[in-house]
Amino acid sequence: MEKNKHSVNGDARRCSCICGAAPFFIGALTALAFGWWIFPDLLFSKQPQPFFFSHAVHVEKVGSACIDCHSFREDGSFSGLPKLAVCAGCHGDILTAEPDGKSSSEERAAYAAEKNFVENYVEGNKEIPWLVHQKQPDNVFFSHAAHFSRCYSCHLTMKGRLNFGSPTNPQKLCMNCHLSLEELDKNKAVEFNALTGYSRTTKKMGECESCHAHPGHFSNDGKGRTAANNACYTCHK
Amino acid sequence: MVLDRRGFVKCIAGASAGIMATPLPWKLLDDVSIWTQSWPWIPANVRGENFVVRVVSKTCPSSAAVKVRLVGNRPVRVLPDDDHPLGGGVSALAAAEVHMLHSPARVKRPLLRGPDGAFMDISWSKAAEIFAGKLKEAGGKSAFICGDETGSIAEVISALAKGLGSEDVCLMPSEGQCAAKAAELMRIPGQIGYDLEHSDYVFAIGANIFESWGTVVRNRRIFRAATPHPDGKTRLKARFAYAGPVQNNSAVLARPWLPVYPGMQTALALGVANILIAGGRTADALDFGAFKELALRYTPKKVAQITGVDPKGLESVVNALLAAEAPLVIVGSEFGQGAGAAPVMAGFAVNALLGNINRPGGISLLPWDEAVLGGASSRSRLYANDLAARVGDWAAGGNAPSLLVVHEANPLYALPGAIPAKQAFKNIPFKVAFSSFLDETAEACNLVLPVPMGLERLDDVRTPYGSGQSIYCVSAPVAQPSEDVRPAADFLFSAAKELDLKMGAASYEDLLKSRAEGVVKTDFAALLAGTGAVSHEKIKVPEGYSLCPAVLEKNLMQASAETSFRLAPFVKLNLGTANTGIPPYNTKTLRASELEGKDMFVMMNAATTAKAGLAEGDAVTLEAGGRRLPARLRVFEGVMSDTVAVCLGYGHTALDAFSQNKGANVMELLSAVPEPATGLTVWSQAGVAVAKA
Repeated sequence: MEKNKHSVNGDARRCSCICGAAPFFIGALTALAFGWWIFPDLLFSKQPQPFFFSHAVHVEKVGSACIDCHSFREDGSFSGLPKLAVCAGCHGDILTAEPDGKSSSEERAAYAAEKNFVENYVEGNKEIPWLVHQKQPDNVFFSHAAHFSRCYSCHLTMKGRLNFGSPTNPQKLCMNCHLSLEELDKNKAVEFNALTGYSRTTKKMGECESCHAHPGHFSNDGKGRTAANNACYTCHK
Repeated sequence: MVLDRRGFVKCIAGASAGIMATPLPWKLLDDVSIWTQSWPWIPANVRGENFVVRVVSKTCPSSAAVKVRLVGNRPVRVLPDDDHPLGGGVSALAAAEVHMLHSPARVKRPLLRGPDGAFMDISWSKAAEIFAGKLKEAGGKSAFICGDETGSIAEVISALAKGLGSEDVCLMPSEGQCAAKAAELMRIPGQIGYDLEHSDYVFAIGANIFESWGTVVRNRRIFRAATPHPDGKTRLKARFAYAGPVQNNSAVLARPWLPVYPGMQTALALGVANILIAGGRTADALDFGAFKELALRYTPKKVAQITGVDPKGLESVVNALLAAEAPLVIVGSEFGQGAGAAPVMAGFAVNALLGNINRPGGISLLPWDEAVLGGASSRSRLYANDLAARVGDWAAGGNAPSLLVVHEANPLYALPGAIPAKQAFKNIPFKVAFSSFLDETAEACNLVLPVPMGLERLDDVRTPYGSGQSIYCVSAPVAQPSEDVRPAADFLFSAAKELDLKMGAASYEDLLKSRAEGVVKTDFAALLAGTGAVSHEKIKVPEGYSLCPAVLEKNLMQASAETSFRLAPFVKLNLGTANTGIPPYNTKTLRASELEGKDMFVMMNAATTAKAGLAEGDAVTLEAGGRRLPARLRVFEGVMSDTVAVCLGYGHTALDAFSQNKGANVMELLSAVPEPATGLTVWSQAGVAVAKA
């Protein structure tokens, strides 16, 4: 009887303990769910691109390189997004074959996208209001030309993952900062931070420093220059 | 389970613990820190379409051809124009031109000095009314100073003056004026040019060709193309030697640099002529015999005594000149002004002995551009008027005009201290300044009329001094004026119309078109696009040309002042011009060894410093002609013995905080004397006393 009494008391204590800790865990789990799943949606607003553009089709099927459209100007500065005239150079008319009964859904989508582009932008002579995933803050000066030449001076001949490909098709170099072809082709909306106004994929200084402050870049080239200077004025003019 | 008070606290504790394991607090902390930097008053980049426009700088005295990059309609950057005969690089001044569009020193609207002595804003119509009234009142007693020797604005001013019955139109003193005087006395009816492009050995005597002499940006491009790069891909195409008192930009690039006392160009050039004549060289000048007699007296030993140059060094340079296929000797001022005609004549004589007149890589005799407007004086005629002498007359009171119009010039700052410009200004009842900046001269005027800067107006450039070929360029405006300004030329055309004066053109654009299509025979639209019109036409070497030995001898006889040390002013383009002051963004190019606080540094070598009983960093006073200048001393071995090197461009009392009261104006120390036999006022030789302050 005594034994049973002890057993009953033990179960009650265990139950009381579990029940007593439950509010703590409920609060913790709710916070975790809020912090990981709900908060990001609240912080970032999603804005879709004006229409779907497949980088993969242009690179893999047409054979374009990044710098064919995102070119350097005569003075060495980077042009960024191509103007309508660049796109219209090829897409003055619809190039994609009109879909028929045998066409796949992808082919239909591609035709619809190009038709929309030609009719609404080329014929209307209207620049495309692309949204930029990686637009940097105004207080940062990022020179594409310097990165293109300086990074390649070493990484062209490196092996493995440190090889950035060829200068004529520098995808690996570009993808160090920009979204990959696969990610771009998901036609993801650009997410803007409600507090800062920057996009979710705008680079943080720590990411710049993954190269600029990398010990491997401190070696002097014999002319007093390091491979990636990490002085403040390098980026903040 | 009941959520009692204890349970609620547990839930909050759990939520607090849980939230710390999510990105929320850390992301919020980071974003809030970024958000706090985004205040509305922080300027944001204005984005827009990028494009480039070709222009020729009207601000840089080297007439640098550059490309201006615009974002939207805003000029943001100056870039080299490698395809232009006057381009191929950017000077520190041309680079600052886009920043200066927003300079705090800019005159924002017409200003009239009120009865209380302060400036008050007036409208353009009121300004036009006052200006026309004053012109009518003064008539032939109007005088004009023009700071733009290459632009057609000088012709507009000249035509207006002629219409009023005045001959008082002067250009600011320049190397071009000295060369024009030399050409006139040598009976050469053209502009002296220098074919640097095709020379394989250039010896510059005094002329700081990479900073202050002639077409500086073009000169640098030619040097760069002719000199081996460390990559070993370029072979040596031309060599360059320099003689001057300070190790300036030309000296550091020269092999060799021959240190000489300042203002000794004529004697040194005669030393070169001596060696050439001794080696059998002759020239077909009318008075070569007399010149030979003079030159043979200037043996290398004697020249060494006068100039301080190493005779062996001089001989090696002359040997290199003789060995070269296309040698060229350039003689000019060490600081771009005040050297007179004699050094140019001596330089011409040396080139004649080298047989390179009108030969590739030598001296080119270019035709003067003639005036398009009826009644206007040509550039060669305007060069003949000596501003320094006129100002001296005005100061004496006798011939002071009733009205003085100053166009983009700052004579109160730029003329030597010995010339009583301030007194001259006091003697003139009404003064008008056309200026982009409120400089010393504008501040002393009664009416200040703001003009657009070079990038904001239509203007032209006619063969700048130093060019080896005739060239005509038109510069189209690339930016909308940021202030309430009017182009001076158009304002003058309106004033002439008001006074019923016939100008020969309806507008400035009309004048430039007439010059382009009628004189230069080039499509005006092509010129507007930034393509310079080049002509390879040369005038023949006149049979009866003179080397002016009598003029040279008189100049060599002129004794310099009896003082302890010689003054060597030098120019650095990053310090701007007398008109612009120090461009705001260029203050960061000044080293602590050049300017510390408000103290500027003057330079002497260690031996001279010891001789003066001074030490590095000492506060010193320079004194000449009763005028004193405070400075600090820097010991620098790149200065000739017994010489004090002082940089021009400091000591502005007007303009803005970037120029005002920084150092002192070395022009204050310079004495001005008439050059014997030419009458041109010169100020290249100055003695100075240096004492501890």
